[in-house]
Amino acid sequence: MPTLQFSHKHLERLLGRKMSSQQMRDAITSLGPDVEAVEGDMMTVEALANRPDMMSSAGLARAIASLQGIRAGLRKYTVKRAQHRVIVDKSVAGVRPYTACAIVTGCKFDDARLRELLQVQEKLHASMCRNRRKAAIGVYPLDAISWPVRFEARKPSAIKFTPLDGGREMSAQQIIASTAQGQAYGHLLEGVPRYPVFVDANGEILSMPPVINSATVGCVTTGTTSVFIECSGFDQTVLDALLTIIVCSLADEGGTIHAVEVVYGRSAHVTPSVEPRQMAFSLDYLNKRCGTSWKERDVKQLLAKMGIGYGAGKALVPAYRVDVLHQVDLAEDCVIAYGLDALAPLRSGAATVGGEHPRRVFIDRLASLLTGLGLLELNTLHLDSVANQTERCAVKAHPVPLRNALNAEFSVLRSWMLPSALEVLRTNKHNEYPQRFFAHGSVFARGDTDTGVAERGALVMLSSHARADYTEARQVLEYLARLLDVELTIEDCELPWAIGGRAAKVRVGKADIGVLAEVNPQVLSQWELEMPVAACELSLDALFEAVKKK
Amino acid sequence: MDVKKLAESLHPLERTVLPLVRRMHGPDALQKAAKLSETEVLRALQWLQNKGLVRVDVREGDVVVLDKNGERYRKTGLPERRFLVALQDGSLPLSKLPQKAGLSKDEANVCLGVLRGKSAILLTKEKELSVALTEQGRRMLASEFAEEAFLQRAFPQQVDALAPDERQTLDALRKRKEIIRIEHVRERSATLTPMGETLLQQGIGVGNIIDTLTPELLRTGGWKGKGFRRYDVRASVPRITGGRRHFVEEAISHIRKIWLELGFVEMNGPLCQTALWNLDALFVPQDHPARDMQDTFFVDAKGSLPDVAKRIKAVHMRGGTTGSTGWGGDWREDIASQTLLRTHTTALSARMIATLKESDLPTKFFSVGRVFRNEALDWKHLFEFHQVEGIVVDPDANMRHLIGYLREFYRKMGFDDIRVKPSYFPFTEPSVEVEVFHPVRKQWVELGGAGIFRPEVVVPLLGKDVPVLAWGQGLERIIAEYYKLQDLRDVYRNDVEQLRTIKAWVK
Repeated sequence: MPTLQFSHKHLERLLGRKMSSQQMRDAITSLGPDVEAVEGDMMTVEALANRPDMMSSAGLARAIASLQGIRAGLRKYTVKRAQHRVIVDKSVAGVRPYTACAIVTGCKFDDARLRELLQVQEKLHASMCRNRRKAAIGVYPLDAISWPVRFEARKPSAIKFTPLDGGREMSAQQIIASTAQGQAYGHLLEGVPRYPVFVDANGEILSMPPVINSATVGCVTTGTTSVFIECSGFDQTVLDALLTIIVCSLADEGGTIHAVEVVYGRSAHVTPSVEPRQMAFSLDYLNKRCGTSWKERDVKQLLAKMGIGYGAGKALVPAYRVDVLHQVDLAEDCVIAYGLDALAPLRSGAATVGGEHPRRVFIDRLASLLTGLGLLELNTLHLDSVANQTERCAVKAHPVPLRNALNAEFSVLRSWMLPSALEVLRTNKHNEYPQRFFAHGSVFARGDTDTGVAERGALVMLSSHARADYTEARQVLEYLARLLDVELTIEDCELPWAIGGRAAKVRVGKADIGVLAEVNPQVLSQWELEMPVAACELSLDALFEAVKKK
Repeated sequence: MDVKKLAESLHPLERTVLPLVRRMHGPDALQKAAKLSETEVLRALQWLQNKGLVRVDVREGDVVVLDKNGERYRKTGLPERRFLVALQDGSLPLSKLPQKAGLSKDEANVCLGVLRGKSAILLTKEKELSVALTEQGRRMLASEFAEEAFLQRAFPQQVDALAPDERQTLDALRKRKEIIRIEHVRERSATLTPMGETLLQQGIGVGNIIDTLTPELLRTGGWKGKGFRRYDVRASVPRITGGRRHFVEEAISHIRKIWLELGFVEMNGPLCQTALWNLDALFVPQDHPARDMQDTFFVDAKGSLPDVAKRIKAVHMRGGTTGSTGWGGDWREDIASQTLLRTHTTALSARMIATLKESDLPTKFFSVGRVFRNEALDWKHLFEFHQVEGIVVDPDANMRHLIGYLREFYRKMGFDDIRVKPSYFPFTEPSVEVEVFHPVRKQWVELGGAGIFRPEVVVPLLGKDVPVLAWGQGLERIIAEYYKLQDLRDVYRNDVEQLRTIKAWVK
């Protein structure tokens, strides 16, 4: 779970109110996030993936101020008219087509605020920006920039600047190969013929998104008061929202927001937009969903506690609330504002009849028969190694592989269960014999299903001790068949893992439903076993079908 | 216990050995006399000692045993004796002496030194070196050497029992090559206690005590007028183990019963799912981190999409008919048709909802099923584990019902008090985290998640927005807590000793 660091004192400053540590903790958790630790002034708070607007001190304080009634209601943000332009060159179309930009003046960046600016960028990059895959944020000292700024894509060989913490001028390739940021995010530019850059009117490169800023014109320091902010990526809506989250936080810290005109060819897009969205909100829907009987007045109050405006069936949702997709999200906000604890539980009036899954009933039936015979049930994994599933059992097969296995030990979906059971024998050689086991589970093969994988239930039974033999395994099988009233036929066969002449196919009617055999000594030695093993593996599904037909 | 009861409690082995202890004390002798094996005699003596009828003393000490040369000299005589005997008919050249005396050259040389030291022989030099007996030598020949007398004793011989002069002889022999050896031994010696003696005098009723009741005795009535050997009923007995279900299955049975009692119908379904059912149907955006390779196991197989995918696509992109904005951006079929191992049983809930008709409502379903996460195995992470989940599909259900259900469910799970707090899941709104008040730890513990499915989830599957209450939690944590397992891997270790001995799930 990603976490955020907040200063208690700074939150108090933003709230304009003193709070005890416990009060602050309660105020935060009632919004959702857990407070995981408090050390002196610093609090470690869970970052909720759906609330990027609460990833900054200002954003969190804004939400607390509303819910605690310190400053409830929709906040108004003003944006000064655009004086600067960012020209988006058509060369970025296939690379990183969109940007949203803003200027904020009157900021007071001390060490703590600078650290926070980095934290906010980092957490937004990790969550909303999907590790910069979807969007990336750049912040620059305004004073260093000559306007207008161009957003264009250049051949990597035509890009040269001094990256942050790079110490010297480097080419795009060098930046990707040798800086930490380059190594972490360079792959996002892989296969792209041209790299996107922001360049100012003097030809100075501001940054190469989504990788890194320039050290000369892209480095905010203490004492910086005015910043240029750009978000670049693939979805204008996301970029606009991302930018709004950042500028509103800076405005809450005392900054003034200025618009920037983003020019795409002939059309201009002025960003940021801090205007709230209007969303129809039905009282009826709300009360039905929540089991409440709130009136207009209540709803107005509840939404105000979440910083949302309301009037005449319409909610005014702040632009930074990217999590509000549907009126159901407003319903949740009402519940949070009201307090979940205050919501009285109701007993359901819906009388329904419970029922077990028939397959589960069948498994329980089998298990009670087998435990009655003294067999111990195992619980084995569905992932296995190719070696266990094939050569270790002298079998040639192609179990369905995972595309992203953790390691070779667990890299395929098992195609049968006997290897899982042999593995248990192998790891229990120090324990008392006889060892008699059974296990149920799923086995997999390629098949004509919606997943391309055919999956069926399987049952394995095996016995290992000095005198374990075919007869014993056959006796267990016949006991099951007799009590389940299924007619089995046994036919001899050769199995690569069995002793010749001691292996059989198990059939119901004309269908093969499993095998029964003494494991041969070569296979036993491959499993490092020094005790004879007799085993039976059946298709649980086929057996179940046969039982149901009776 | 009185003597009579004691007599009746004797095991057949004890009955055989006890009378013999009157006459003999060592286990070897007892073994021969009783015609029993060594372990049987030792067991009988142990039991008799436990009953206070016999005292078994263990004596430890050194004993003398004959070595290789000792055995030989005992039969053929000591070399110095043979040396002297060879000379009794007159002097001999030294070169011929070993052959005549039947000695090796070394032995002859040793004897030469020893006997000269005792003035028993005289060396003369004429043409060659010759040896002859002296008077002293003849006297020695006529008498028995102390060493000879020692070698004729019975061995093993207790060192403690030797007289001081015998000790000297012992020391002399020990210096010589491989004649005798000293060994350290523990010796058991059994004697009757006064109670044992009393019991023997009163008789142990050999013929009148039945050891095992046999069908034969029952048939013939041979048991009549006889007593049965009394057992020591408090004595420990050998452990047995039995066939049983795996403890995870026992826990599953318990939890399934709770759901069934609450009127829920059990769901079951494949472990492999397309991303569509596992994620897209649950309104998880296509670029959500849960789809990363680090979280989900993807299967190398080609999946396909059902018709409902079109409606799911519409909801993702622009909200479809739900009134939602959707996630915006693109929605790709190739991403939705990826095959994966289900990461939650909610995939089953989604599939179930898609099969429901208006006339089926209200209805409730649950599942306890295996799920997979691409996580390295360690003490608190498993890559295969179980999830417990239930849904209520009810046009009249609301948030307060959800809290009501949670109360009922967790009360049955053994937690009387619960509380909910705001949380986030992509597929529920409102979403809450469930905490229970832990009766033993006396604190609030986070146990599960709950919520009402979003319209973006329900509408494409069911055709209209019906509230679907949902809650669930992991199973293994409850199991680990019940069995006090610190390491989650112990839940699936399949250690036969653990499976045989772990306590039954009694809840």
